[in-house]
Amino acid sequence: MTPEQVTQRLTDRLGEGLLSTESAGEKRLYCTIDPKGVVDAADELFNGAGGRYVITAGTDDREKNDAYLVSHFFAFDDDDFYVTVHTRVPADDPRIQSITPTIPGAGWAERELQDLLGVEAVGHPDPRRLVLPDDWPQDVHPLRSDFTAQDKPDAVLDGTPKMKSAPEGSVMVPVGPYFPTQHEPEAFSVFVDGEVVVDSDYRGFYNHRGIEKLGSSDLTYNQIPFIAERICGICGFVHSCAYCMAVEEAAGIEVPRRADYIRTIFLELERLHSHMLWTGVAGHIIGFDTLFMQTWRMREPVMWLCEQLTGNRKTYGMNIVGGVRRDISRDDFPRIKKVLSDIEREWTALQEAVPGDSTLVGRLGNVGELTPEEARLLCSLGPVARASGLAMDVRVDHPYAAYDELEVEECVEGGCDTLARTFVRLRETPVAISVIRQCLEQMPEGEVRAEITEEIPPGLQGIAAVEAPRGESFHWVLTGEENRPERWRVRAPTYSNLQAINPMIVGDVLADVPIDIGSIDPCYSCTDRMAVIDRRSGEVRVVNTREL
Amino acid sequence: MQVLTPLFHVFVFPGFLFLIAFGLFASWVDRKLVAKMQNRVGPPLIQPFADLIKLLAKEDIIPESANRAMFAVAPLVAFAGVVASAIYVPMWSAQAANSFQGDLIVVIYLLTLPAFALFLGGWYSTNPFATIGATRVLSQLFGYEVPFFLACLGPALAGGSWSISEITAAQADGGWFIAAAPLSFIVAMIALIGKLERVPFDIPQAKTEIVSGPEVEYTGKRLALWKLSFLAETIVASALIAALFLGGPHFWGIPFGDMPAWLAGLVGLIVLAVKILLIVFFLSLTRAALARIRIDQMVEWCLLWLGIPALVNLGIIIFTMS
Repeated sequence: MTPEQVTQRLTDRLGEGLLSTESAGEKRLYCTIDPKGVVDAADELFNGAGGRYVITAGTDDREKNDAYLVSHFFAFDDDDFYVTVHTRVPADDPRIQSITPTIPGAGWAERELQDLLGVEAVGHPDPRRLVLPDDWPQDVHPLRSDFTAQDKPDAVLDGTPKMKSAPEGSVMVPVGPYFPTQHEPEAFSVFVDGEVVVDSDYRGFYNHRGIEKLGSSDLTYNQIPFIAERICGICGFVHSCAYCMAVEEAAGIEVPRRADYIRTIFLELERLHSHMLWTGVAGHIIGFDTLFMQTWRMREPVMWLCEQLTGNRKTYGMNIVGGVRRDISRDDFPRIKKVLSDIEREWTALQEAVPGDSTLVGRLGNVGELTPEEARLLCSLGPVARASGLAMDVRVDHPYAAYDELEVEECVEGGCDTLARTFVRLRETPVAISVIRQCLEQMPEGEVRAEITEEIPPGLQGIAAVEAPRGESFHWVLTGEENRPERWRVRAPTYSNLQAINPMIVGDVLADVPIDIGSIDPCYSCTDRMAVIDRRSGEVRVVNTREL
Repeated sequence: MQVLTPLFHVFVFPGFLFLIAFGLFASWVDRKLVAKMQNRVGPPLIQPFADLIKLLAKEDIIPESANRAMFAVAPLVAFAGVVASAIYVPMWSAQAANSFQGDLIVVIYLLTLPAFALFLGGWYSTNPFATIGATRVLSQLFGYEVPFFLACLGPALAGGSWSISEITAAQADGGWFIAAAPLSFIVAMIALIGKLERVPFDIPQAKTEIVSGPEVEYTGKRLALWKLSFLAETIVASALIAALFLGGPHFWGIPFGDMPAWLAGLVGLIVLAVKILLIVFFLSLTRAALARIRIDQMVEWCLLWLGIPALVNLGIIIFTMS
C-alpha cells in the first residue's frame, strides 16, 4: 500500500466526496472529504486498505470556514505513512456520522469530540459523556474558541448516574477511584457474578485540565514542550519530544543530527526505567513484593544518571522546538555505560528466572486474553498489541529521531495474555540498552539546536508519533497565529489501550482484574492529559503563562 | 494459689501477655528478615509495638449497614480462641499448662476459630470487598484445614496419644517425630501458611486485589485485635508444630532433669522460642520468594500436593507400627 494507492481507493469509494488530497513528503497524506462520506472513508482505510485508526481531533474552524474541522488519523505501519481525513462539519449543524460502529477503537475519541467541541457523533453506540465532569453544563464545550481557558461554568447536577449499573444477577465491585494498586484516580466498575467478571465500565479523566486548550490559547510554541513533558510522570520526555517533532515537521525545521541522537538516548532511558518500574508494580499487584523492591533498586541508578545528565530525575526540560537544550558530554559516557552494564547483568538473571517461576506463570498465564482481532479493532498499541501478535513498533515502522540509523529489535509475542505482555516488556529492556549503546557509538559531533529565525506561518500541519514505553504517543499540530498552534492534539497510548480492558477482564475472576489492568501499564494522567497539583497546599490549579 | 495459677496461665503466660509480646517480637523478626531479603533496612524493634499503640488510639467505626453484634464480636472470638488454645500447647516443658486426652483435637479446632470469625466479621460488614474476602476465607479453609489435620495425625499415631503433652513427652529422648513423619511435617508447615493467610496464600486478604478483604471495614481497636489474633496464632500454631514434630521445648544434650524446675522451664522456653523463630524464618522466606496465587489454584494445589503426601505418610506410619 502506498499513499497513491490509498488516494485511488478513496477516489473509487467516495467519488465526488473526496474533495482534495495533499501530500507532504512521502509519509503524509492529507485528504479533505465531504462529511457524508466519512464512514465510507473510515471503512475503506481501516478494513479495505488495512490501516490502523489512530485518533480523531476536532478543531474550531468557524472563523475561517464557518465549520468545525473533524480529523480522523490513520497509520499504515507496514509502509511508513500516515493518512489524515479532514472533514468540515457546518457550524450551524454540528453533527457527523459516527465511525465507531466500523472502528470500535474510535469510541472514546468521538465521545471526547462531543464533549469538548460539541460535534455530535450520530449513531455512536455509547454516546455518554467521557471527559467532562458530571456537573459540567450540557451546552458548554471548552474547545470552542468562544470559551477561554479561564472560564468556569457553574456546576449543574442533574443527578443521573453516569456509569452503567450492574447487569441482572451480578454485583458491582468498585476498582477505584481510590484503589491500592491504581496509583492514579480512575474508576472501574467491575460487575461480577460470584468471582467471575461479566462486564465492566470505566470513568476517568479526573485529571483532565484542558492542556490542549492551553496550548492553543495561552502558551507559545516554545512553552508547550515544558507543559507537554508534565503530561506524564514516567514518559514525559516522549510527549515533549513528539510535540517538538510535530512542530518541526509542520514548519520544516531541520533538527541537528546530534540532537536526534540525544533525544533517542533519553527516550530509551525512559523506556528502560519505565519497564523496570512496571515489572516491579506487576510483582506488587500479585503479591510478590520482593520483585517490586529489587527491580526498583535496579532502576534507581537510571534516575541518578538522568539527574546527572539533565539536572532532574524526571521531567528533564531538555526538548525545545528545533533540538535539545543541553549536550551530553563525552565525559558522561563511562557512567552511562556502567549503569547499562549493571542493569543488563541483573536483568538477564531476572529474565531467565521468570519463565521458570511457577507462581508467576500461574498467575499471569491465560488471564487478560486479548485476541489479535480484538487488538486490531480496539486499536491497541505498544506492548499490548505486540503481545497479541501484532508486529507494530513506531521505532521500526515510522523511524523518527535517530532510529533510522539504529538496529531495533521488535519484540512480538503470540501469547495474547498478561504473561505475554510481561515477556514483551522483559525483552524490550535489553533492547533499550542496546539502542543506547548504539547511540553512544554513532553519535555525531555538532550543534544540538537549530536556529529558528523566521516566524512559523499559520495553517501548516505536522504529525509526530513516538514509541513510548506503553505504545505510540501521537501528536498533531496545526500551526496558528500569535506564535502558538491553532490546534494541538495529544493521544497517549493508554487512551487506546484502556479501551481494551473490558474484553481482557470479562471471563476472568476478580483476583485477576488488578493485574489485567496493570498489564497495559496504564498511565491515567497521560490519558487525561495533565494535572498540576501544589503539593504543599494540595490545591489543584491551572498553570498560566506568567508562571511559566 | 490454686485459683491464681489458671488465671496466670490465661492472662500472663502462656496466654494473653506472653502471646502479645512474643507475637510482636516474632512479627518484628519477620519484617526485618523480609526487609533484608528485599534489600531494605526494615523496621526498628519497637515498630510492631508502636503500630499496635497507634491502632489502639484510632477511631473505632462500625459501618451502618453491618450487623453490629457479629461485626463487634468476631475479632474477640478469634483472639479468645487463640489464647485458649495456648493453654494446651507445651511452652516450657513437655507438660502444657493443662492437658487431657484429645486436647490435640481441641487445639486444632480452636485454631480454626480465627478463620471462622474472620469469615463472619467480613460477611456481616457487608462491604463487597469484605464479602468476597469472606467467601475466600472459607474456600481456603477447605484447602489447608484437611491437610493440616491429617499432618497432625502423623505424630499422634507415632506417639500413640491424642494429648499434645504426651506426644511431646514421647520425643524427650531425642527421637523427634519429624523423622517418622517428614512428609507430614512439610505438609503442616505449608498448611500453616494458609492458616495464617500469608504469601502465597494471603488470598482472603489480598490487599492489592480486594483491599485486605474481610478486614477492610475494621478500624482502631478491632483491627488491632485482628492483627493480634493472627500474631498470636502464629506463635501458638508454630509452637504446636514444634511440639508435634520438633520435640517441643526439648533439645539433645540439655539435661532438663538435672536442673532446678525454674531453670529447666526457662531453658525449655528459650529452646522452644528458637524453634518458633525458625518456623517464622520459613514463613518469611516464602513471603519474600513467592507471589500470591489464585483461590482456585490454591485449593486444587493444596488438596493434591498436601492432602496426598499427608495420607501417604500416615499410611507409612500405620504400616510400620503394625
